[in-house]
Amino acid sequence: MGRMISVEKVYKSFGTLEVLKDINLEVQQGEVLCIIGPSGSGKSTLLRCLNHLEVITSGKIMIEDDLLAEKLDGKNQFKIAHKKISEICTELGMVFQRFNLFPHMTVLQNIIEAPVSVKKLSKAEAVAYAMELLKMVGLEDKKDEYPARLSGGQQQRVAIARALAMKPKIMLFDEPTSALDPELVGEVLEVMKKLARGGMTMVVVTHEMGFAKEVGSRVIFMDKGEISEEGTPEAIFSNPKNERTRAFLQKVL
Amino acid sequence: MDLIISKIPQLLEGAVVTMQLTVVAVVFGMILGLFLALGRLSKNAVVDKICWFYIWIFRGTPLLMQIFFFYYALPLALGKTFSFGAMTAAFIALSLNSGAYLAEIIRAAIQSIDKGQMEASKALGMSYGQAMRRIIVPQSYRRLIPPVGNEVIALLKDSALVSSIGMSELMRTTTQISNATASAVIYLPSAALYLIMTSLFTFVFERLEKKYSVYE
Amino acid sequence: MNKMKRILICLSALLIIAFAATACGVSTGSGNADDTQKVLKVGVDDTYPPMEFKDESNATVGFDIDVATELAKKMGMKAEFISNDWAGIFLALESGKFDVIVSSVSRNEERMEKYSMTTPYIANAQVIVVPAEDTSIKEPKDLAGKNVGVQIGTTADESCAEYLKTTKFTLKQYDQVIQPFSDMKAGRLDAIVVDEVVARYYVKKDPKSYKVSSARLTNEPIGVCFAKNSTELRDQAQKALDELFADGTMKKLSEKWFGEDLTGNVKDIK
Repeated sequence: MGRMISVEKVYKSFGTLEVLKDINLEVQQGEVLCIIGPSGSGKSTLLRCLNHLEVITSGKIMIEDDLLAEKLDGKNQFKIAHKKISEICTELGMVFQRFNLFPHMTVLQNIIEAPVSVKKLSKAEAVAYAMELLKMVGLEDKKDEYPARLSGGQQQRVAIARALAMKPKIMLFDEPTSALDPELVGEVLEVMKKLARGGMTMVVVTHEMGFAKEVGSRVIFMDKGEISEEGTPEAIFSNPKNERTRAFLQKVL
Repeated sequence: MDLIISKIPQLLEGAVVTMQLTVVAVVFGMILGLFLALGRLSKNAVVDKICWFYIWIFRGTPLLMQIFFFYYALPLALGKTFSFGAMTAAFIALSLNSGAYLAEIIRAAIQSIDKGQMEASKALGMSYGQAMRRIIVPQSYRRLIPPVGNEVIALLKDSALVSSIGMSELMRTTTQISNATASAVIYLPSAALYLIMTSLFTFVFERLEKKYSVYE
Repeated sequence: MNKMKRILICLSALLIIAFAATACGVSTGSGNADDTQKVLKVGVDDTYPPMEFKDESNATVGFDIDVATELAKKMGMKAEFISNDWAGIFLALESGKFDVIVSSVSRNEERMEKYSMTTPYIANAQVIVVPAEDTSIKEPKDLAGKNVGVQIGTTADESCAEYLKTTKFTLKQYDQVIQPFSDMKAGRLDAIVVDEVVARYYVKKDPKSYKVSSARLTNEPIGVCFAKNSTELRDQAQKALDELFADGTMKKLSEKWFGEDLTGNVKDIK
């Protein structure tokens, strides 16, 4: 069991607004870490810092043994090349709340785009693997459709396949079911469970407490930019120690 | 009527020049406009300012003045090396001018693309250039087509301004005929030719719009 | 990001080179012709019949065109005509678009000073064109209180401006020489001041609408106009012009275009 992500004393501000305060966190290989908390608590920002979509103000983030960012009061402690950062980020797959599929490409083109243009795979190789992934998410028959012709649940499953096509070691999910109609949530969670069972390291920001309870190996409760409670799903959901965790869970459960 | 028919070949010659001017100005203008737009979107403040300045100048002064500048003023200021023929001066002025307008059209189209598209591209490991080339710019095509169509039609008609430096495009050809025959009736077929040309572009742009709408 | 910037710079450079190349191609092309084939580049505003205009087959023709062609021949050169709007024709001469203007350039004081001109080759009377049925305008002072049209920047325009100082009338200036004629037909103009040869051309085309009145403003001579520093070329042209008068070519050309010899006494006007 290796350490996949390590976050040390991370702070993040947007102007004068401090959204992350003193975040310390480790994620081990094969772990499914669920981050819960009220909106505006900084959980999405934390996730986005992990693959450099947001740049931290201060602190240190390591992905496996590679340094992604180390800053002190907004200044870089080490000059890290753009290329190195891109390389590190391909180890992390990201699934967005609003899918962000490329609307001008078919399902298959969406999936093979990055493997071909970034990883320089041959088109045949990329297509073969894409078809495997589409089979896994149950959408082989939709490979030539444009995203606009798919339901939200189908789009999100394509988005998961697209992220997996880069063979990432870690998958990040940013509220993957929040934009879906209730009857479509299940099919996406099914795919995520399948991934978790396959041993994928996952960090999931979610409002689906059922999923966190069932699949999560660890749960973090964030509030006002801080990690206010951390523990196993059983401990958090059945016996929360923190007053604010309890209040939040009462509202959502 | 006989007069009109006998002058049709002469008018057509002028119309061909008008078409050449329009097509060259649009092609160069699009290339120039794309780079100006990317420059305006660049995080580099100097590049942004330079492109802003360029657009400010070329959109802020009359096209006729720009045509005069490249034809008359440049050789006076810089010597005869820069003494372009009327055709070259017209190509340069129209291209540089349409580049400024198209830059703003392209910039607006690129900025209207959901920023989640850039994030998704970056999350997949694409560089800024790859993301622009493969994901962002292609999506902006469809949104570009209606305003670019407008610009092309405006440009086709504005190209009549180069008659002022003696280029016999459709407008000056018409004036020449009208003066030689002492009759204004020649403006009728000339207007019809302008209409035919603008209709042609309208048709092409409608087809393009349909083509790029398949995924919506 | 850096790569993007590099591509951006490279392509902008390419674009500039492409422009420069086409530009140079054009200028050196005509430059070479100038040296080897001895081309005399002649600027004309070819919208001014019968002096210079486009004929049925879209060729540039007219009295001036013939004069320039004969002049060039005598000078051992070949005339090449470059079309330019009247409004910018002197600017174009100064910026080197052509060597000479042979386009009904009247020899007024200002031009004699700014440019290098030959002696006159035809007289250019400013006549007053009126509607065919008009009887009110018989001499220049009858213009008082009338609407008078001219082409902007022509000597007719200048003489009207001069005449305005002593007589009150409304002066309307037009871009094209045909425009005041159209306006007169539409009933908005009472008189047009214009070169006699041009007046005759248009009146002949439509005698039901116009006539040349007996009133004349000035009698200005027309010359060949070079840039101030082309004295050598001007002297060659002057010599050639004198020969054209001597061998009767000028008389022949005038008869061809105007039906009579209007060049006979022109040498006397100074």
